[in-house]
Amino acid sequence: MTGRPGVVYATTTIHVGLPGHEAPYTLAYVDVDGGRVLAPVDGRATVGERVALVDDPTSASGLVATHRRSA
Amino acid sequence: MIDVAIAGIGMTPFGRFPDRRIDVMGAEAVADALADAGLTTGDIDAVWCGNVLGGGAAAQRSLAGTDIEGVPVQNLENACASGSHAFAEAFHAVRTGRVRAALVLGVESATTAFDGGLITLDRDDEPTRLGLNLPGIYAMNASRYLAEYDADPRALAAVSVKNHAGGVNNPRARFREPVTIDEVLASRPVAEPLTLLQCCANADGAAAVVLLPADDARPDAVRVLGTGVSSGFRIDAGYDLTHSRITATAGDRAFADAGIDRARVDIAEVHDAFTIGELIAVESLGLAERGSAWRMTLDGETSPGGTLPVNTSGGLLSRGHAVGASGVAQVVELSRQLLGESENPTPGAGIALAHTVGGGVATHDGIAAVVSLLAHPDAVR
Repeated sequence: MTGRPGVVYATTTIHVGLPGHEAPYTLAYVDVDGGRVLAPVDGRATVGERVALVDDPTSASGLVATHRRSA
Repeated sequence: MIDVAIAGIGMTPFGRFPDRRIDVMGAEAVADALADAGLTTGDIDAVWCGNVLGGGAAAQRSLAGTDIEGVPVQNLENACASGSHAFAEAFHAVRTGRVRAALVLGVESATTAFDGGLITLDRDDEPTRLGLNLPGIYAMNASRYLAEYDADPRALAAVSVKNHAGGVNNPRARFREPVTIDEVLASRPVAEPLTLLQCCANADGAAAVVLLPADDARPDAVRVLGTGVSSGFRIDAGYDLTHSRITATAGDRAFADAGIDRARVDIAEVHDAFTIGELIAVESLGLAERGSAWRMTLDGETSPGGTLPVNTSGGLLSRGHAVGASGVAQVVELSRQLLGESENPTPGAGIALAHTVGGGVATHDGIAAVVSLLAHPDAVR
C-alpha cells in the first residue's frame, strides 16, 4: 500500500453522528503537499500526527487517513 | 445619517414549547416591544423578520395576530444569523431615512423541528457526506485551538459553567441550573473534545425590537452605533481554524460602520452555540489577544465583574438556540444590560457588542456573521 504522507491539522471523534455513519467515527483535516484534505481516519488521531492518505473507494472523498506505515 | 435608537424591546421565554406556534410567540414579542416603545401597531412603517425553520412568511403569520397590516415586510433566512441580519437591515433603513419606525422580529419553533437535540446539517457537500456535522466542525476548531495554544481543556468547560450561571437568574433562559466544570467534562461526548454540556440546545421563542430615529425616542433609549455583515470564506489549505475569518470580517465592518474603537466595548453577547465558539469569537472580534481567551475565561475575566463580561444573559448555552430568534434576543439582553435592567447586571457598561454566526455549509467557515454595536446614550454624548 502506498499513500501520500500528511500531517493532522485538526481532528475530532464524533459520537453523535449523522445518519448513515456508525458512531464513533474520526475525521481529520490532513495537510498534504500543497493542500488540505478532509478525510475519515482508520482509528483515532491527534493534532500534529503523521498519517498517510490512501485511496479508499468507500470514502465520500475517495481517501482515508491511515496510521499504517507503508507509504 | 440619522441616529438610531432602540425604542422598545420584547421577548418571550425561550424553552421547549411544542404547543406554542410561531405566530403566537411572534405576536407576543411584537406586542411587548410595541408596549415598551409606547407605540401602536399603526406606527410601524416596515418589518424585518428572522426565521429559519418555519416554512416561510413567519413575519406575516406572526403579524396576523396583531393589527399591523399592509406595511412592507421582509422575511430573512441566514441560518443562526437570520435575526441579527434582520436587525442590521432594519437599522440601516432607519439610519438612512428610508423608514421611520422599523420592527425587527426573530421567531423560531426549533425543538420540534429536529429529531436530535442538536442542529444538524442537511446538505450534500462533501464534508457532510463524510459525516462532518455542526458539532464536528466546531470540534475541529477546538482540537486545533487546544493544540496550537497548549490550552487547558477545562477552559472550554469553564465557558459552559459561566454561561449556565448566567441563566440561573434569567427567567427567559431555557436552562436555569448551574453546572460545574467536572459535570461539563463528564457529560457524554458529542464530538471530541466537545461534550453535551458544551453544545447549546434548540429552543422555541421570539424576540422583537422597535427602532426609531433617536430624536423620536426616549432620551435614555439605547443607541445602535453600527453593524457589520459577512458571508463565509472557504476552508482551504491556508485556513487557520483557531480564528474565524467570517467573524473577524463582520467585526471589522461593524467597528468601521460605528466609528468606534474596539477597546471601548464593555460587554458582549457572542455566538456560543458551542463553547469553543465563544473563545474564538472573542479573539476574532479583537476583544482579546489571539490565544488568550481560554485563560481569560479560567481567570474569570469574561464573567460578570471581569474586564470583559461575555454572555451575561447565559448565552445560547443556557438560553437555548431559537435559531432565527437568537440574534434579536442578544440585542434584547444587551439593551437590558445597558439600561441597568439585566438580572446579571454589569454596572457602568456603556458599549455593547452582539455577534452571531450561522453555520451549515461545511466547505466554508459560515453562512453569515453579523456584529452589532449598541451604546447607552451617555457613552456617545
